[in-house]
Amino acid sequence: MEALFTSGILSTAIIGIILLIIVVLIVRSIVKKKKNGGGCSCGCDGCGMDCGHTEHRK
Amino acid sequence: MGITIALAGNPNSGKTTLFNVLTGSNQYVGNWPGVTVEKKEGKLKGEKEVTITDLPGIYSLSPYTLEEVVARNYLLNEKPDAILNIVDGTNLERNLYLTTQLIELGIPVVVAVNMMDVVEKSGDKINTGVLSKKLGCPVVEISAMKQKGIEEITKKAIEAAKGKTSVRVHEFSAVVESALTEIEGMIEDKGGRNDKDQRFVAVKLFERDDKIKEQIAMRIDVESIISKCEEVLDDDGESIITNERYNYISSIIEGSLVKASKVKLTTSDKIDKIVTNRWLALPIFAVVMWIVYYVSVTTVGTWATDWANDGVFGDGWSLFGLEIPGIPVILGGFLESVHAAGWLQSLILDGIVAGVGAVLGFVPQMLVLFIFLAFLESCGYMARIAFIMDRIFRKFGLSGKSFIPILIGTGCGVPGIMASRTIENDRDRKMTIMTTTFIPCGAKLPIIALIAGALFGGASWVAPSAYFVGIAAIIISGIMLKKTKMFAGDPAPFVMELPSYRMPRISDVLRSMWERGWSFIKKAGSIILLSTIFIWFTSNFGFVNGKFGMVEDLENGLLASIGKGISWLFVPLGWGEWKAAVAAITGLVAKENVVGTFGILYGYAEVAEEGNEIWSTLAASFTALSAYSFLVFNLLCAPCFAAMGAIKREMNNTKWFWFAIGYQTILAYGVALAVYQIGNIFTGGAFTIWTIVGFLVVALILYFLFRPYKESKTLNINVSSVKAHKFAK
Repeated sequence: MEALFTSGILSTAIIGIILLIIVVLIVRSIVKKKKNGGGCSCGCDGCGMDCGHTEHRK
Repeated sequence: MGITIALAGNPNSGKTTLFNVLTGSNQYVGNWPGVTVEKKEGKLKGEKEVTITDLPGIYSLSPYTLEEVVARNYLLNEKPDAILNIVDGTNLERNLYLTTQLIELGIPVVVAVNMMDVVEKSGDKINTGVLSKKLGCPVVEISAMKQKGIEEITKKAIEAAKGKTSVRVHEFSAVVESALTEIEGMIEDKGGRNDKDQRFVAVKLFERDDKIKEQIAMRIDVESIISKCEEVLDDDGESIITNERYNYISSIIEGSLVKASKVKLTTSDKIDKIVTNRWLALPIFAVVMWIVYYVSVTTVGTWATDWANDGVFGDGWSLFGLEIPGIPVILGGFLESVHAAGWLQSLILDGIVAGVGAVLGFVPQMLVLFIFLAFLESCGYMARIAFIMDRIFRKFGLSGKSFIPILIGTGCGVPGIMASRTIENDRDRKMTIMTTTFIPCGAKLPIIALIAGALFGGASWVAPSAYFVGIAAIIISGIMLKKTKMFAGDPAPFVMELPSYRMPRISDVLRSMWERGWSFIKKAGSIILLSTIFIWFTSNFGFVNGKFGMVEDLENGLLASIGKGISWLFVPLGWGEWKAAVAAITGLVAKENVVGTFGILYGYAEVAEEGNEIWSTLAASFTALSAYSFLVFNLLCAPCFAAMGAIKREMNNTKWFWFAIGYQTILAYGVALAVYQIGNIFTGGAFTIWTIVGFLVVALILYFLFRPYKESKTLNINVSSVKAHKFAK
């Protein structure tokens, strides 16, 4: 076990998985937002300007 | 059972401000007309049963503009339980025109006289009791901005919605009334409307409103009734109604409004005498925008960005003597201590931190710019710019209405493109969509700041010049395109009310700044982060000796191969290196990616760690001229995918979409080529075949600019619609 730590295999695997989870979550949120936009198709992420779509503010 | 209350009123009367106060939401508020294009809904604070609908600002219920169609259709089809009519107290007469129409709908109306603080300051007096009696509906004084009278107006609106009664007090002249009664009788004969809006429908039929005919789906021939009336009153149906409405409004105003002084100029008038002066307006506008960009990018913004770049995303910074290490130092130390694999360290430090950090480093500059823009919008100056630009645009065949989307585009191109919906003239609308993204949006600011800082040593003219390059591209495109058959025709009439100047609330300015800034931070943590991983992977992996794997030198990576395959395209523009070509292409995903890509490819993190001047390696790859050419190309070329999507939707036509993208890219290429090639001669460069091409591009643009305008002698305006507009406004 100690060898796994000192060789960096375990830490690399853990950090790699965390990174992968982050990437998956980002992709999922982008896809979800596009899918369930509630009719909003302006493509923006609530840039603070008014695109007329209330769902950005929810 | 839920209650729905619709907020209706003239543009810039404070509907969205009141909507935000009532619902606690953060809808964008701007001190210029046309901020709300579509209706928005929210729940009344503390009353979950009550839904508030914010309608676009309209001057009348005649379907001349998109806003008027959206609002009218909602009121006719959705039938809210009550209408909360926001009336600008400083301009009572014009605002009451809509009120008289709303009352005819048969829906209970409560009038909120807004901006009472301004009315009181000017010394005017409004007798709401008399007003209420004459209009036949409750009238309450409020100040949405100062949140005065909100409780009372909410109470009255809910009472009205529950009561479901509306009293019609306004009657037209006997001749018109008799015609209207006859029309109402005809509607009854056809089975009636089963609605309280019968009176409204009859008036609209009298005005020969074609859209109402389609909407009521009844075959009624009222022409003989209208003609008879027109003969008696010697005017057309629509004008008869408009004139009688204004006569009625005058009679209301007489007893309920006491003006302090008729000749005294208001502070806004005095400011406008200078700010919108025929000769001073443009120089003042140029100076204002120069200051905005100079301060944002070169002075205050730079100090903040230097702290972010050198400190937070660099080797560290000190707070009251306490040394705080930078993010790359902390992460690097951690990854080293846990013996993470080399490739993972590279991915995190040279990829994600370098790419995302490069973008985030410019957020302070963006925030400073957004503060300025929010201030100019809220105080009312931006509306003046549209008015000033109308004078110029009109000469080139565009109307000032096209400038509103462009103003909105300074924040983000997507809502800017969407705001072009308000332009009724299809040709002008298409042209506006094509040119809106020429104005530098917030995402292009990091590119401007990077070039200004790294290549021009923070020269004060670089950032403001980017804004003026955008304006020039819009004007030049307007002139050139208007001279083609596709866009020929006179500009649509532009009627715009100039709002009073007002000192913006600090909370509004800061909220606007934060909302825009936060969206960039979120974007850096999502789409930019994904892009940096992709760029890191493709630049660090490739085929060496026939085997796929991590490469030692970026020059052997996949991205380098792709970049080298396309970089020749940009050689005439002065930046034929593959890294610059790749950065420009990745900018299509999001414009911030240009800086993120540079961060990865030019080793942002490594340089920062060593404490060397950040971006010095980038500076070595460009000359001042090629950097400016790169900047011009990225400012004018096809926007990011989100904005392209908006262009496609608003054009609603694939051919037009590709035409717009093609035009933007070709113009960007041509202008960047001319800048580099012609500039090259003045900086001692050699005269090559590309120099001739550069001159040819300039000659071609000049030809399109100055060739005779064949359509200028034809008037292409629907006169009846203009007349009606004039009366309505």
